[in-house]
Amino acid sequence: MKLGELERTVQRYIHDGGALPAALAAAVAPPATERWQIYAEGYRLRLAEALGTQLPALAARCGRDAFAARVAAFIAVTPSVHRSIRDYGRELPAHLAAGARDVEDELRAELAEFEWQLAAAFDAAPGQPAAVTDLAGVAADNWPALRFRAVPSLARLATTTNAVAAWRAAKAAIDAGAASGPLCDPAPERQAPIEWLILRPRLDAEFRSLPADEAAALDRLLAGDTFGALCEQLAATLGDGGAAALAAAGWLKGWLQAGALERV
Amino acid sequence: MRRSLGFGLGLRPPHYTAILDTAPAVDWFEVITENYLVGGGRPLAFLDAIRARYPVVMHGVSLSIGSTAPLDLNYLAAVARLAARCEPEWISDHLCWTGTGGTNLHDLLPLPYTTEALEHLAPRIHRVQELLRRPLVLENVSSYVSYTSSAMSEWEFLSALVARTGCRLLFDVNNVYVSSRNHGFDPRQFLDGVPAAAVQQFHLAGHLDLGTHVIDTHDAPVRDEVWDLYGHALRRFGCLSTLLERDDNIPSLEELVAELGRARAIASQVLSEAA
Repeated sequence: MKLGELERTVQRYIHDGGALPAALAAAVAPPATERWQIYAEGYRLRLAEALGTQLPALAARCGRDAFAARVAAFIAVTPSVHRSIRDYGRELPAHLAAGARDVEDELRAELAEFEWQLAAAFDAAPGQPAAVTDLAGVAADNWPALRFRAVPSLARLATTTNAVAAWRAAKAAIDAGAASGPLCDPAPERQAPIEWLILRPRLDAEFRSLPADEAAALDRLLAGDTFGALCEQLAATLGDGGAAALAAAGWLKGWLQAGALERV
Repeated sequence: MRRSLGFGLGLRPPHYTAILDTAPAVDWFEVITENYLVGGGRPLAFLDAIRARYPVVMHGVSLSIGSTAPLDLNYLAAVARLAARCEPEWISDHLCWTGTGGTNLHDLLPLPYTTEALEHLAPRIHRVQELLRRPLVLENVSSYVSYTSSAMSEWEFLSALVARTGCRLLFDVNNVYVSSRNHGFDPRQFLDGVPAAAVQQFHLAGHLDLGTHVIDTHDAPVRDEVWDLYGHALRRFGCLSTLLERDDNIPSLEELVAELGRARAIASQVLSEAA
């Protein structure tokens, strides 16, 4: 067998599992099945361990057995394409959401997304956050044309369950060394959407909820709207240009103070 | 380039603060390259702080030099950027493949020891050395399968690769022991078979002995059989830079520093024998 074919055959066997192909049994000295299984089992154990490390609150909420079952199902359909194993699992929240059967499953999917975004913020690039003072020299006529983009650690998400409360409870249980089984408190419940902003201004990731109107304004700015377009859209909503400019300026000041935005 | 850095530890996050607070008796640290191919945050901040106080070596796990997939130039560019940042004494990875066609199995899979594999590896190693502007240091991996297509021993394969590429060797003493048990060869034959002048560094780690075979776990202290082989390696290759690895069941920094003391003691004994 040529090297390329050997590698593809080994990879298929390790990822897909199942019976050892005859070609691989013949390719190595006996006991072939037992020896190849070391690699196949190690593959699943390693990816599962990486997911548990990256998503400890999800693992605690699920409990050992349920977490193992869910990540096994995910690993079976999701080969890693990442150089670092710590990047494996980005698709797990969507995988959990797609298979959700009840509100607890929905909570776990949102908890996974929230925890993943916190982890992503942990080692994101610092970027070049603009400060309020950076805008002091901008002439009034130029303010409408101002554009911004998110710093690399910024993440926006919305929850429709009490997933963040569950994340807090799981983290407290982990910190107290009391996260051995599935965590049922708080009980899962659907809620009106809550908007969240995640950032890492210095070395620790932080998050806070956003009022819906502020979240919508921030999303427009991050999507490429100028500050002027944001004010116009807000004025149309509020029916008051002065109040719109005041609100937009207040939000912008808060985002800049939080280190959320870079100048474009 | 072959100057010994002394006795080092693998840099692991649970020890970041203790290293900076206690300045342990460790001569150098080896960092897992992929853990620091990130934009910023705490990992890079600690690496910068520790790099300011200790020599550092970069040790990768995803180069996949033996893969038949094309070299990942984006990955190599990121490795080069990290090297520019932390100025490692050298850069190492493993003589293995980790996946093909864009997939990463996150394992260090062995290659068959064939002329085909040598001819595949040599231009890839040359290319990596050009891109990183330094000799690549390659580690022998532990293995659980032995290919029937292999036309030479692992040490003959390593020797041929060194001759073709000028790469250097990271001699993992534990891996040699593990593979010797799994494939039934004499580890000292391996030790005697590799070109001594190409060996840059030693690795030491723990393993799990299951009787019928041995698993390279890095989750326990180094076992006596490996310490014994380490002594032989020192006699054959000289007192080169030695690195103690622990990746699971990570104990306190003090415990690892104490275990590193055993490596120092063995090296001291070997040096006194030679004097």
